[in-house]
Amino acid sequence: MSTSTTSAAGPSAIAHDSEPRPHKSSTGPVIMAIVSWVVGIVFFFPVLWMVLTAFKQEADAYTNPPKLFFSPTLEQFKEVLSAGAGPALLNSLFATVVSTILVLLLAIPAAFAVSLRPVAKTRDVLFFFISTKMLPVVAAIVPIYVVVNEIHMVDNIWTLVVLYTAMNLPIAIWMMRSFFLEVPGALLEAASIDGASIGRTMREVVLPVVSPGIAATALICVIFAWNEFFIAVNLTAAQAGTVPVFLVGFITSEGLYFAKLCAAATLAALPVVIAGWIAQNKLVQGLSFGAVK
Amino acid sequence: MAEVVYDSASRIYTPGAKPAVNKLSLDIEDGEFVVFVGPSGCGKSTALRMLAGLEEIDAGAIRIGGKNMVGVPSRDRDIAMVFQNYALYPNKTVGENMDFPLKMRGMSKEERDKKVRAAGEVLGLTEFLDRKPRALSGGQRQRVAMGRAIVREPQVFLMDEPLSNLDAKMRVGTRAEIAALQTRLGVTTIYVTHDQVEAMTMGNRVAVLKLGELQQFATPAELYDIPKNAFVAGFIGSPAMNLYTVPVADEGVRLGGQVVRLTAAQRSAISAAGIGTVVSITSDPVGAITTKARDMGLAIPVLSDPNLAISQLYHANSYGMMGASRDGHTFIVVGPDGTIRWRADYGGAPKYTMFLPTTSLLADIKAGEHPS
Repeated sequence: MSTSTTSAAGPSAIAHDSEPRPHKSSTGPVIMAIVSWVVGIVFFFPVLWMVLTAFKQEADAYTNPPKLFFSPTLEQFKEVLSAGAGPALLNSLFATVVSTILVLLLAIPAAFAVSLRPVAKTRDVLFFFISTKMLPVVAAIVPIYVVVNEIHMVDNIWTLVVLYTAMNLPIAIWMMRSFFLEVPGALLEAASIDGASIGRTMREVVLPVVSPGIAATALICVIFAWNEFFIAVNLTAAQAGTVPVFLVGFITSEGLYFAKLCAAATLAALPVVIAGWIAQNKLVQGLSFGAVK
Repeated sequence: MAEVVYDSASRIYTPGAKPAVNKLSLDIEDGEFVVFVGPSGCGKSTALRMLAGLEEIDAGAIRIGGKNMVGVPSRDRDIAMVFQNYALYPNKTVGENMDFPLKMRGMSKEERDKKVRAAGEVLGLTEFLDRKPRALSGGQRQRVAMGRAIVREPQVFLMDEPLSNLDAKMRVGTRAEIAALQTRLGVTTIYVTHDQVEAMTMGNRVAVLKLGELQQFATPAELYDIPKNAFVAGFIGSPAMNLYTVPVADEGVRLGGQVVRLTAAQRSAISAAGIGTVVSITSDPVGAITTKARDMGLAIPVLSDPNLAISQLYHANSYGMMGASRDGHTFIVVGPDGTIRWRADYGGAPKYTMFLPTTSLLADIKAGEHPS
């Protein structure tokens, strides 16, 4: 027995010595790091420029090359806020939050149904959902406008709530579906054997497991609704105008107000950054979702 | 607690195709520990899941305590199940996991706490009750899954390969624990495994399945001593039984140049099947040595020949390997360390004799079939 063990181990040991384990090239990661930094800076630079310009005087904003050293001022922010940024921000906030809540309320049960309890036509239903995203909004805007005008809902924030809900629903259902598909089937079976109804199973078992997915879906909906411009600019005016519509107001025929535009854009970007930051922990959990076993 | 009856229960995934479980009929007594065993794809898990309400019963019936379960949802069947991957709720603590089935049945908080603590004590989980499952080892998770099942005192326990995710050493220990727990609680238990050692050591009775069909339902001893067919004979026993395909002779079958005498019943079974040439016979390697019925058996000359070309090796439990040469006339016995245990004078004279008892010989009436 002992001799056979030695002879069996022998050749593999020799092979191990004569062929040293391939060392990972140490230059690879360094190059990757440099490339990542360069790409990162290139992408981040416009954002940095925007934020810096927001703190400049209008005159400084036009210098070329841009001044790196200047006396920062909050004047542009003050002017932007007094120009009506407040109502625009509130409108955006309302449309975004309410539509996102509605989307989650509708998408979670819908995704649960199509992922965990599929029926014969589930695939067709899923395709129908995504097919609504295939038509560009610009192609649908005239009929939408006619309908909205007919029911006297132009320049009403609820119009945007409804349209943003419809706009985000297919994406949310598809996203949530992929998260529900990750839920181990045995978990649902265990819950049903333990005596839980579908509602209890959802609340107590499934939703806690997919909460990272809900956070990711909500963040996507928030970003899309917050940044939506085309529907807002066509269906709203003074009353229900959202932040993107307000931003465009700084691009006038007399010329650009760079510093003010940048200040307004910085303000507009802030809520999304904050939302992303809040969702970050959950998103990281989402990445390690498969570890649940 | 209740008895469980499978009454020609079938699961048919695609109409017209072979059913995943085909007309399974079993009478499982109250308090019995029954193991479903078979190779993968044999339908053992499907049969269990039909009882759990996780698979439809397409034909026939399954009764728990006399009540037909066709169309009854899982939660109304008063069963508890331990899953292969445990299926613990990852967001709940160990205590909450075990509490969940009680909470779903509307039990009062104090009563639930008492039961969870009691179950925790039984399974040695008291200090882990506030931890999340991911902070536990595989063995501890397995115990939590057990705890969640026993805490509710259901009529039937269902276990679907509950030990397959544990390492070999822990599996042996947990095997004994589960068997002891079941004996103490006296709850009817159905246990699915592909590991025949688990089946033989844990079950009061074992149901052997193959391709959705029940092969034999008997006590472990009966399966071992009187396997119904070559499949059961080849599947049960570790190491596996010896199986030979041999020609039929007048008084029995021909093996190694001699005739093994078969009983009258075995002979009539062969002639009834109209097979005149070949049957499979099997012998218990342990019984081969220890049997008293030497005159009934077949004497096999055991030769020692270092140059013997061994074409087949058979396990012989306590004596290592038994080898048969290609012509089927010579046998040697090799120890587990590879040395030849029985050394005879070179020249072919048999020095030791082994006996194959005819009581353990099985005439499998399927012509020429050889398992594996």
